[in-house]
Amino acid sequence: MSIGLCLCKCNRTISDVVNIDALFDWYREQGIDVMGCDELCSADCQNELLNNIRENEWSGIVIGACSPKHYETTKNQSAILQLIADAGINPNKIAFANLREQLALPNSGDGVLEKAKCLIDVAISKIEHSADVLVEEIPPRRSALIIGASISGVFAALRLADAGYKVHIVDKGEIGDFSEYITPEELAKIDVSLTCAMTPSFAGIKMHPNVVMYPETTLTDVYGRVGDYTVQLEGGEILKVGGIIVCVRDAELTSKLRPILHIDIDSEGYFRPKNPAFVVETRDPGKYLAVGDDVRSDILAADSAVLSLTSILDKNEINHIIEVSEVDEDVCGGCGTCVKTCMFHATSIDLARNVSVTDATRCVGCGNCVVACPTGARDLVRYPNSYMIDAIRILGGFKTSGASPKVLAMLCDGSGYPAADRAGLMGLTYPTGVLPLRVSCAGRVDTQFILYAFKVGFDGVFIGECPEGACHNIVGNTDLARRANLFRAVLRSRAIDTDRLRIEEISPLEGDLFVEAINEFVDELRGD
Amino acid sequence: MGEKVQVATTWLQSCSGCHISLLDLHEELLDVLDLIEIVYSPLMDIKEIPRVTVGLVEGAVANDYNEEVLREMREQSDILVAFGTCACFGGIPGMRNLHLLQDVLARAYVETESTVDGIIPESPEIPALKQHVHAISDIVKVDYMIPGCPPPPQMIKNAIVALVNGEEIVLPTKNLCNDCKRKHDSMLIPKRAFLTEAVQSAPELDKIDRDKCFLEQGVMCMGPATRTGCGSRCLDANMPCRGCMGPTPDALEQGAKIVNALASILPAGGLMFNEDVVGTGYRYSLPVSIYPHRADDLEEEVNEEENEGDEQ
Repeated sequence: MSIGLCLCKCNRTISDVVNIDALFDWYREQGIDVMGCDELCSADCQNELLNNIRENEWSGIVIGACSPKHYETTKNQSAILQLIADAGINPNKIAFANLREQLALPNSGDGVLEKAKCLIDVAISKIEHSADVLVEEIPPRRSALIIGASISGVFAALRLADAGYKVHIVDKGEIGDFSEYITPEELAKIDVSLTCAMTPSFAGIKMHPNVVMYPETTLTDVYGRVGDYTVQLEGGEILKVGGIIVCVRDAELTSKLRPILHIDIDSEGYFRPKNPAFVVETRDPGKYLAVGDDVRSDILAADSAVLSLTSILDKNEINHIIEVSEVDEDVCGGCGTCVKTCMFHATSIDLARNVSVTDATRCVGCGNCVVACPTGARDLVRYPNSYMIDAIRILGGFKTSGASPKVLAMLCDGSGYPAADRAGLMGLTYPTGVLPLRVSCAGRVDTQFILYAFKVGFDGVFIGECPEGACHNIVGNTDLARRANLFRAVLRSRAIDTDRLRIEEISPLEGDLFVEAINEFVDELRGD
Repeated sequence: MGEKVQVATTWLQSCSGCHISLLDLHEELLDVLDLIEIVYSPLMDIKEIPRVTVGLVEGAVANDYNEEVLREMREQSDILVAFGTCACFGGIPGMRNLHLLQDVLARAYVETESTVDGIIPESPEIPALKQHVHAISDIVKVDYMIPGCPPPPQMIKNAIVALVNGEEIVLPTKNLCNDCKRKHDSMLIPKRAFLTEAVQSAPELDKIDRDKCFLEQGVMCMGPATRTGCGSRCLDANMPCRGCMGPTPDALEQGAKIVNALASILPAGGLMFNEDVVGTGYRYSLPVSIYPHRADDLEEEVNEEENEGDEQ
């Protein structure tokens, strides 16, 4: 397997802090192809990267640049991931070393170069330990579910129906009564013609041949992937749709829908977009939010959500990365712990063979079952056990200067990791001896990893997770808390101070709280 | 029938139960003795270990003498087998690693209730206790394992017969649940809720349904985190699994794994109240766990480095 390493200077943001030339020489000596670029987000650099991949026939690529979050949550950057995959690299063989947000911005001075090597080595390890993921092509269903016959819901339904989509609109109340969604005061503020536009809109969806309405109906189950969702309504009726637009802004209703829809919520209990700049997108590319602050922004959001959804569902084929938890059937004895653990009803026991199986249409790849599995038979395609252990070993090899403590920071994909990114962007600093390791979820933090971290010499283990009630995967943080409660007895039995394990709840934008918590932890470990 | 295969057996830090289990083959022992000749054993008065094809080592390595005998067995055996859980994983003697050596000695020789003016013996005649208890694979290369506390007689026989026939000893890889005959319902319902509201302690065995999964009744059972192959003898006697067969091959260790699993199926508060979490999870496998001794027990590191040179 030949692995390429692409080092981005990020227009000197990285190269002013990290000696990129030294990294170049170091990895070339290891027999790794290295290319450098000034700004990987420019078209020229991206073309150079793609040419290098094709010419050198790399089967894996480490991108040492800014946070992988940029590549996963913004439109302009995620395009390059698709191009890299098109150039022949499996999506599971693309790994990142976050040299900007989690190194060059928050750290400086001695140790930065060594830490850069650790982060790159971890990324190389991820490629070496990860099997290829399967990529499946499916034709998308040209139909949509609208949740909430609010103003945005009605407009989104009309747009979709006019574009030839079959639209199902579900509301817990009556459909056509928009007094529920707009106050008389707000109504008085807007143009009369807009008011007039709304009543006919309700009539419009009622009359439209492509629209089916489900008033006074609640959802009981939603599963599937963009292009192919299965929706179960109260009473048992099943709908098959290609995409979902959520048009409710009601904290109580949101809390009821959240375990069914698996869309993240914000600190006020409302559904939140995956990136504050793209207000309609969730982290599931088939589910959109269309909720504004007033009538105008409601309608704009509806249009934006419809355009985003149809731009995907109008394709002939959609690629799905099968990112599930896998089962070693030679080891699984069918105990059912994974069945009990999975929030998404993705695991079950095949009674004929007495082994656990995963429903790929329900599995979100959070890894909670992998941790819960008492035999180790389950493993996660994107974050395999062997990679996690190797990554902790590599990071544990980092030498801090003097009495400075060495901390493993396991950061969940939903909150801890973006909060650390945010801290870097806010210009906040913390010691170089804080070594970040991305995990899919707090529920992916195996207590075996914590023990191993202490074994390889970490002074402390910090876990940055989502605040209570806001976990990406609903129960990852509560399951970690349960595990940690039992596990502290194990630490005590080895004479390891339980204060050396710190679990902190952080929202993704709270970079300042991340730095505050991590600095406080480091000070405590140092004995200040 | 050709020449019999020469076998040596020994016991280190152990209870001799694995040897007793071999004898528990009863009449079938005669079939085994048709195939092998035991040329050295604690039950025989022979001083030197002769050259043998198969060496069976029972017990953990807890003192210098254990280590010396083990190294000699390795030297003299073509095939070295870890015979029983203490040899494989450290076993019950391995629990000593939860204490500092000086505390263990003080407890044994000075602090016991019946001791008057106790002193910790120091004599070159007495083998010194090692800082930590080890599985034999920490010290020498091990070719095969026969886990179990003790391994069931039939399992020992099958292993010996396999070796005599030039075959590998193949252990089952699944967990004990695979062979458990108890009814197993709630565990298979995809619902996020603890199996029970309360956790019962094992002494309330008379209240336990003989036909239902222990965990579903709130009784701590190590079966999910334990390799099968024991023949589920404890379960059949209405006794929950205590984990003596050690972890399954995909787990790094038994203790952390059962903690991970239990947290989603039984109320953690009840477990902490009713169960010794550490004693339950690491009862048989502490010396092969990720963190096999106390963090404040550092002296050993020098010795371990010395040993590394001799490992293969």
